[in-house]
Formats: sequence, structure tokens, C-alpha cells
Amino acid sequence: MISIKGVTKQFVTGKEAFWALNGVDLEIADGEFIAICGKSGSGKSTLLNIIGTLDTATGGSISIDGVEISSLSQRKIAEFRNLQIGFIFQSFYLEPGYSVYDNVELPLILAGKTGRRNREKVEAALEMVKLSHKIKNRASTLSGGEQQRVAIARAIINDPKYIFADEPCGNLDTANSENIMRILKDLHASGKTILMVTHDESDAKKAERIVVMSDGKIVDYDHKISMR
Amino acid sequence: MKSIIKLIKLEIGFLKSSIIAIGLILTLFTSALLSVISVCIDVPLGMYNVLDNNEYVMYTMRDISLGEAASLGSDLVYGGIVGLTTDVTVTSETGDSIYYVASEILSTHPFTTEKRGIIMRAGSDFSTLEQDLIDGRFPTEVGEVLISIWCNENSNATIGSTLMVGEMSFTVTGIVDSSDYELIKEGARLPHVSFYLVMADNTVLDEAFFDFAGSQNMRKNAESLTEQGYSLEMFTSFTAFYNNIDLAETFFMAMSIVLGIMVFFILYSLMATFYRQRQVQICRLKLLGASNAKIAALYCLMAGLLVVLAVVIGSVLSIAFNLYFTNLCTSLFGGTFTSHFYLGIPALLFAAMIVFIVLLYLGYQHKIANAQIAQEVKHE
Repeated sequence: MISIKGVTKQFVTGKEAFWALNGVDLEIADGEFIAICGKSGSGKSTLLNIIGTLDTATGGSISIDGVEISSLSQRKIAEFRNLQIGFIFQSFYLEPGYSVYDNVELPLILAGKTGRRNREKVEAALEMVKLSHKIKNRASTLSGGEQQRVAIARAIINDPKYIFADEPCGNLDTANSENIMRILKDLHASGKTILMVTHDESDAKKAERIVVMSDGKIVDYDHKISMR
Repeated sequence: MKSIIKLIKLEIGFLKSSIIAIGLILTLFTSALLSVISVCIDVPLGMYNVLDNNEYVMYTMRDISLGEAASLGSDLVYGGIVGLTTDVTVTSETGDSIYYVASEILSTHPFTTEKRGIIMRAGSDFSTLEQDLIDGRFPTEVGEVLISIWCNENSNATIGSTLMVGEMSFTVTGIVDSSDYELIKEGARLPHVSFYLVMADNTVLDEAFFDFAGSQNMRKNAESLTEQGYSLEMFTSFTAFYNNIDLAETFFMAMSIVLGIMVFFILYSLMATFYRQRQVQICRLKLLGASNAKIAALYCLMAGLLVVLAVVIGSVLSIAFNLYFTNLCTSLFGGTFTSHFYLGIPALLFAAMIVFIVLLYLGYQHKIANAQIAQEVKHE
């Protein structure tokens, strides 16, 4: 379970400062699939980065499975990020010079696993996203949809409890977006807790619950999108 | 550790061309640095060896008083006045004189019959001349002088006469036939061995040169005389070489410093390549859960591997270069130039380079703090 209480975030650029988050409270139960929606600049990605320990909050507290994140050492946070969280980003964030295999294997290497089992896990993950045939290709040679699927395979390779996705379909066409969302649904069905940031209503509808943000605050904790 | 090695393999695969280029340059400069440091030690040692050979020593002293010349007498075989700037007349009481033309004064080696000049023998030990004393006694006071048979015959000066040498006056105490040189045949005389001076006063000679008996250690002679206050400038055949030792040491030391700066600048460029150019990749690794320690280990180890290669190959190349250079010096200068491999030098250099890498990493560490990850994700 993820518990967020009174989280604030201030960014200072030169002499100017602005509050990206103005006191966010949110509870995310295990196994939930939550979509965070809002206009550009509402603080969605900032909130996701802070929950995912990619950034630090200015104020408030975040606890994951009862552990206050701010109390962890840098090493423990890195370990938590490696084993418990799988990230999926709009720009895929793959290492373009590495092969598909190397990209997917990276989290396993960082977890200290280098044996033959890695190959089996990588193949299984790529099988799940239907990219086994591209295992030796360089990541930069793949299409956008394929790269995002490799990113998903990488995100799940350590069997993390949480999947954090920031606009996973932002750079994809409709067909690929459908594909990615289907994979996320499958992951949710397997028991993973998914937190997805999106501005696309059709993608948001795939989630169990939609949280709406505006001006750094959550304005709707269970938004219903009307079906047309 | 296995995970770090795996990451290193991946990084090397990706950065192949950059690493090969930087590695090559680092190796070349490291080998040059090690070579120059070894040469800096071995060549001056070899030059000292050359000077430490026992050799026929001869040198010239300028503006030296007769007293100073006399103090060197125990080692002296002969001395001569050279470069006399004024013509000199040696005049006896009888009015006979010997006129010495300054231009005819010999300059280097007195014992050639073609040249004329004044040979001066200064010192207290004239035991070898005792057999040559024809009449009178050896001088014992300042201003007393022995004269040769030639001088006796040409100036008509005899025992008790007053000789004027320029404006200096001397009292003749004895007549000697100079026969203490191997070159002199029995019965032959050296017409230019005119007189001997002993127990000299403070008359300053224009220039005097000295030849020591037998072969002597040139450097020890020079250093001994330097300690007594004489300038090394007098060692006309020796000074240039002796001073060049300091010059050689200074030159090689300066080269070592320049090359050392280049080596560490290349190391800095290497680390900058890793940290600046791979900053996005570092953030990706942190995104996936790499700790700061792992990032440090990854890039410091990569740099460390290059340093190991550079030092090992550099050591081998430095041995070859040092060997070539010392052989060249032997053929140019003679003596004994020996090349050595100083294990401490590459070991010290390796340690310094590793410390430098770690310090650079610590300097860059602030750039890979947690907060950077989110920023890099945004920029990507």
C-alpha cells in the first residue's frame, strides 16, 4: 500500500519559485490500477516521480508498505527502486546502444543476478510482450511501439510489486497504444499495483480508478468518465 | 562484483571507439612519462660515471695568485703562465735581459719546442728536482727563485742576482736543470723552462694552468676545489660536461612534469567522457535501481583498467626507450650508462592515477544525486 500525506514540491529556477504540488493526499491499495489525469502542469508527473523515489518532496510524507521513504538511505532507496518498482516512460528510456536483451537484463544485473537464469527470465518477459524474435536487435532499431514493449519487459523483469507509467502511450499511435494498455491490464490482472499518469481519456478508462489533479492538488479521487 | 563486470562489458561495448582512442593516448603519454623519469635518473648517473673515471686532468685557473697556485703544489706536475697580456723582460743585475714577447707565450701545452713561454712550478715539494739542482739551494722565502740553465745562460743571472720579471723582482737562489718529465731526453734542455717560483707572494697571474700527475678522478678534483672556493669555470675541459649534468637533470625533470600534467589531463578527459557524456545513461541506471556506489564502481573500475593497461604497457615501452637512450649516451660520451627499471616509479604513478580517478569521481558525485534522475527523465 502507498500512503501519501500532505506532499508538497517546490521548484526553484533562478529567482523564481513555484509549487508543483500543494499538499497531496492519496491512498493506493495493493493491486489497484489508478490513472492520474489532469492538464499539463497540474503536477501529475511530479507526483509520480516523488512516489517512485526519482525526486524528493519538499514537504509531507510518503510511505510504501508502511516504510517512510524519506527515512531510507540512498542505497536502500536504490534497492527498493530496483526490486519493487517498474518504470515505464513516454520516451521509453532504453539504452539505444544496447541490444533488446541487454536492456531487459539491466535490472537483473543491478540486482546482482548474473547467472543463466537471467536468460530464461529475459526470454519469458519478452515472450509476454511478444518480442522474442527481436531479442538480439539493437534497441535503437525498433519502432516506437516495440521500444515501449521492451521497456515494459524491462520494468517487470524483477517481478516488482508496483508499475509506474508516465504517459506510456504518449508517443504511440492508436494501435500500439491499445497494445500497451492491454499489456498493462494483463499485468494488473496478475496482481501488480499500477499507477499511470495520462492525459488521454481512452487510456485512463482502462484503469480501475481515475484521480484528477489540478494546480498541484487532487480535485477528484474517483472520477467517472462518461461513456459515449 | 559480477554485476559490475557485466556492466563494464556493456559499457565498453558501447563506448568502444572512445575508450580505444583515449586508452591509446593515455598509454603513449604514460610510457613517455615513465621513460623520461627513468632517463632523468639514469643519464645523470651515467654522466657522473664518466666524470668519475680516472683521467688525465688538466685545467686552467684565471686571476689566481701565486699563493693560491702554491697551495695546489702537492698535486702539481707543472704549471704555466698563459695569456700574458704584456710583454715581459727578465733583467738581471748585470743588465742582461731576456725579453718575452707576450704573443709568443704558449697557451696549452708547454712542452713543445716550437713554443716558448714561462713555465712556473709552484709548491713546496720539489723533491724530484733535487737531483737537478746544479748549484745553490731551493727557494724558501717569498720572492726567491730558481732559474734554469737556459735562463742563467741567456740572462747571465747567477745565484744572488736580482731578476726583474716585469715589475716583480726575485732573488736567485739556485740553478736547476729541469729533468723531471718523461719527455725530456738526457742532456736535452727545455729552453723555455725559464724559472721556478716558490713560496709565492700575492702577485696575481694573468692565467695559470695546471697539470696533475697521473690520472685522477675529475669530479672529485672539481668538487674538492669547489669546496675550497675555486670556481668550476676553470675546468675548461670539464665545466661544460659537469654543468650539463644539472642541465640534463633539470631538462628531464621539466619534461617529466609536462608529461605528468598531460597524463593527468587525459585521465580527467576520460572521466569527463564517462560522467558528462554518459550522464543520461547514469540516470537510467539509477532509475533502474543502481546505487551511487555501483555507479562509482562501474566508471572508476573502467578507468582503473585503462590505467593498469597504460602503466603495464608504458613500463615495457619505457624499458625499451631507456635502454636505447642509455646506449646512445654510452656511444656519445663513453663511460658507463646503464638503464634500470625502477619498479617504484610505475607503482607510484599507478597509485597517483587511481587516487586522481577517485577524487574526480567524488567531484562529479553531486551531479548524480537523486534529484537529477527526475530532471533527466523530463529532458529525455
